[in-house]
Amino acid sequence: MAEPVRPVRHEPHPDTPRDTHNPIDVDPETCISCVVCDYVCPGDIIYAPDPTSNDLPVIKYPDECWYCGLCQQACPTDAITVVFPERMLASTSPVEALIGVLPPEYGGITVTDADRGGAGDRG
Amino acid sequence: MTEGGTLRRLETDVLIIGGGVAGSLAAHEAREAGREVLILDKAKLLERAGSVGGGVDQYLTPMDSGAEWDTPSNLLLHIPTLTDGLVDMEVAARVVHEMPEVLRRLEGMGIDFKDPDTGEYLRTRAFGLPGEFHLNFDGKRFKYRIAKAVKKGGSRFIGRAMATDILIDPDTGEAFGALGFNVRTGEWYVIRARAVIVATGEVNRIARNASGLPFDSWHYPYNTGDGHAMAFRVGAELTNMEFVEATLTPRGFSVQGTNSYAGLGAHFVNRHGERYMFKYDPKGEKARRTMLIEGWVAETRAGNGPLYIDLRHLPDNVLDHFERTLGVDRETLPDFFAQKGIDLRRDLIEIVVSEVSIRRGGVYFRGSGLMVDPDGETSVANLYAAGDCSIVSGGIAGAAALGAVTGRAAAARAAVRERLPEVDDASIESARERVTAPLGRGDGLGWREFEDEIRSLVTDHLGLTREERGMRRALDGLLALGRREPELAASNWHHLMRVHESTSIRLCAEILARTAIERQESRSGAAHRRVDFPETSEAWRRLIVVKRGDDGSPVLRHRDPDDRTSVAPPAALVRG
Repeated sequence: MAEPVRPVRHEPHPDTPRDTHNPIDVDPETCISCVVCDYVCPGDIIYAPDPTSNDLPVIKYPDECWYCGLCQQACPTDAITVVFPERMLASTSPVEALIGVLPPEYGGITVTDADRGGAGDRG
Repeated sequence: MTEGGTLRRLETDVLIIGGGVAGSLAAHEAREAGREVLILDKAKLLERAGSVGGGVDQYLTPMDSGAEWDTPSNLLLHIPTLTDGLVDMEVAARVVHEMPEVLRRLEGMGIDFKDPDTGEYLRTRAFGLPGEFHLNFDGKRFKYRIAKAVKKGGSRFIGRAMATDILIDPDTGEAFGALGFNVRTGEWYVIRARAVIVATGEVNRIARNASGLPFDSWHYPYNTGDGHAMAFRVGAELTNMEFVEATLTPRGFSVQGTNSYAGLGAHFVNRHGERYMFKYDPKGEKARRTMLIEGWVAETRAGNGPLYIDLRHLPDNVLDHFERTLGVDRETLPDFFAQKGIDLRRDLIEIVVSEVSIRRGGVYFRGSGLMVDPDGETSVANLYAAGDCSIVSGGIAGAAALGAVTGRAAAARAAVRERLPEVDDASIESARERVTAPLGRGDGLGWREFEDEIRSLVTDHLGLTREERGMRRALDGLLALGRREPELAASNWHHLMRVHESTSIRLCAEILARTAIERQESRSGAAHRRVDFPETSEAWRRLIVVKRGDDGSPVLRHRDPDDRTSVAPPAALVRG
């Protein structure tokens, strides 16, 4: 007898911007509809189904994902894959804009000994 | 769903807002001292709450191993230089002296800091620190084990709880609890406590990055300065808020790890194949983080980009180790490279500057946040702070150490505080009305749009390039956004959490603007780069302290870092 159909539900909250990428891919073949991904997500993004149902979790706030992979790491059946969007894999925005606006009368940046001074930071 | 309604009244000795490393160590110590402890966090599980819920691979500490350099006192000697002079040394001393003991406590919780291959501590020297103070370890389960120990010790935890207000006794001015709500159910918490500890981390989602996705950030995007804002509103003082921190990251994914590349011996090259860092710092790729940012900015401005990390010259065993540990800090970094089609042994990795955040301006033992005394108490009585929201930030080790210090101090205070004021129903009701007002606003201003405007203003004028007119333009924009806060709308409790995060981010950005305008010098490299005041000035070795004024706006004063007294502004600033 065939397994019941378990549709993958991309049902982000209605306020989510259109064409938001879904970062968390759930495999309907292996997901056991538990609550682990919902519980470990630090951003309140994944909503587990009713535990008595056979539904898949809903990625409700896909644009708020940190891409931390806690869900992928914690899933007991390895049913979750974190999938990066094109905007991250092939970022094309002009990175010069991240430096900020330099008024034309200032030619550049002066690095001094004080800047090289102390010790830095890791992480 | 948006009705909420139920209200839980709770009472505890020590209330801790934020269940990351700092909050958890505070809880552990306060319980050890015999006090009742309640922790709130926006995350569901304490085991995964906070910025290192997914793992961490380094821990900075002196260990008293017997080596001459390996003592708190020796490390302390270097802290004035490490922090460019902007730290309260008494507080730093408490933190650093606490570190070896906290390490032993963590080991007692079952955290293994030793290298699994050798059974020894693997310690490395980095970035000008006066010894091999960085412990490299597999901290995949670090936070998990701390949380288990904290729960076993009897601390209570409420997850998915966002604190919104700190309760202040109108008669004495002392903190005595907090209000908050559940971000899924809307349940309300009214918590009375004998002491309150804020451990809510740094301020993220404040600037743009290469992907343009606000939650793609180097640091934890759910730390949004909520504790800074809550404590500011009840009169607590903040400092060092003008300093920002950024890192270099693979283009498109803001992640931890820059120093792993640099530490391994990676070459940073420009599009001509030139190792450019030596033009800016004799330490080359091993310069401090803020210099790596300066080098990237200068090369990019000079048209020498794109810039890359080159690992291809490294021996196989080094690359093997690197690949094995790539996902310890961020589980998904190997997946990112795989999905992008990058082979570290064959390909150059394009690097870009990340978004900036208000954290510690890229240097250890200096924090950007709540001023505390050596017990971790803020300028508001019975209100404590630890971790990245406090004036001393030393990564997870600093968070753990100041967390432990504040936990003990708060417990001692709670033990002698008998009377707790009642919370009157009228004030609960008025706070609830204010906090939930966005739920009734239908199609009002969305938090995404509101935050995007903050990120544009900060990135353009308050990030890595600062100049007075631009900063004033940004401040005007941030004040205009502040006037629009009454239009912010939320369609459920989750979005209500985001709305309040957005207002915390805006307030912190406003304070950033005001203090960065005030500081008429450059200091700590990219952390505060004024193109109109390029030099670092000894006259500016002073803290700019911020407090809420009578009309609600931030008021500034200058403080000598060494003696806690106010000082007059440098002559250049005395206007009219």
